Amino acid sequence: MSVTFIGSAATFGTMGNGQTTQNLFILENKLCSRRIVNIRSLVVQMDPTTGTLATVKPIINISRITALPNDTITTAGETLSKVPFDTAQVSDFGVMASGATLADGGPLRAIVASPGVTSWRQYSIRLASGFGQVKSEDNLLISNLIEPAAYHLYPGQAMLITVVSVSGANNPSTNRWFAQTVWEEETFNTRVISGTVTNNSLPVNGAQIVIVIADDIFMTNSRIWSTTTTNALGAWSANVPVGRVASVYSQHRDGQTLHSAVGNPYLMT
Amino acid sequence: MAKTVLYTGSAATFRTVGAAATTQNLFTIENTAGSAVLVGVRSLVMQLDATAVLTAVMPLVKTTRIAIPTGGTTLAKVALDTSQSSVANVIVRGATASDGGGATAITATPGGIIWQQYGMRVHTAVGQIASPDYPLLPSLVSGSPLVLRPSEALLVQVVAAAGTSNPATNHWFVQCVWEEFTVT
Repeated sequence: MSVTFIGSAATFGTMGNGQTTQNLFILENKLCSRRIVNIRSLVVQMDPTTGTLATVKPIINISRITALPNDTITTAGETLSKVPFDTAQVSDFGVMASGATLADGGPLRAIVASPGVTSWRQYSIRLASGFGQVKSEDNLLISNLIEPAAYHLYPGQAMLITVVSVSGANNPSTNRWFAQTVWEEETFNTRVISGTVTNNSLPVNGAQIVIVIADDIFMTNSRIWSTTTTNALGAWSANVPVGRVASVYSQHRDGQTLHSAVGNPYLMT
Repeated sequence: MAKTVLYTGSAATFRTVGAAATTQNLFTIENTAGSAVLVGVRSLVMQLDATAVLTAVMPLVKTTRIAIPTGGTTLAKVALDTSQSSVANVIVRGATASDGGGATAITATPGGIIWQQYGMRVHTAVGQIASPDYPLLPSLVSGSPLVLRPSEALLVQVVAAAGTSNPATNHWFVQCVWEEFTVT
């Protein structure tokens, strides 16, 4: 496996929503992604501005979820820019970072996602009274043991940041939050599969090969992995992720006649 | 000898209110008898928000190695890599089943103190109240984990000078990162 991208994303200053739960940020590794996402840093900062609070402060939870909001056509926050540490690297199109507002202090656009089991949590700050210096340091949302034990997100997984309060009054609009993250994207371990397409025992040049992968033989989380074409000898090959089931289908056109060759399902890789 | 890490994961308790008693068991992680793995605890931290004033000495939070506990609420274990699975012999317990919920007491007898930590207190309710991580093991365990062999457990216990020093206005939680490994 090799690292193909390291980058960061940050939300805009997000107002408290006056409710007992608020999704602040989500980093998704969608099913179509061809990368494993390793979260290296995940922090939240908050300024309560003028809001004082005498009762227990909100807690910030992170959880890994598998129902990804942006895999369905629903409201899922505002897409954030992914900024590479090295502009020669490109993030996979299947990796998406989203916040809950489009501008600092702007109107809220809810991330519609249900938290999973809490992986790590962190109290925010509160003001017993507005007095003296107010500091807003990084609230670490993953244990500082990020190497080598980074949180991994496989395709179909996301990391969600949720603020949880005992009452809506404990997370008023005077709370101004932001979240930011650093992650890396690395390739899967792969192995080569290959084959030959023939028609009446003759090799077919230029046949289209479609490779579908899934988590298991029941085609859980199936998606098209890649396409390729055969060469003059009718041969093709492709790299597919280890530990997935691959299915291969072929089609080609011979003049006006369209052919679909016998596929090869359930190839365990 | 070669060390093979089979699982790395974390768990966090729910927000646990003070028990208004001189001792309160907050958290345990155990490696029960017959386990095929060793447990290496790499991080153990506590956070506290005290919403009431306390002018007496603040509670101490002590980490000790103990025998296998009972009671409490079994907490979910979260893998850092979902391709790994934790063994059933590793169990993590908290002292409540929901944030601010009723107590589900952990029954455990503390042993010799491995490490201890003062939390925080509010002498006067003025200004900012911060809740940083309070480490419950020395920081060096991140590289040299504290090992739990089969039939061993760790206990995090609050020890207060008086029950009034750990009232229900103390809001605690504890969280842990550990690895499960074999040595051949």
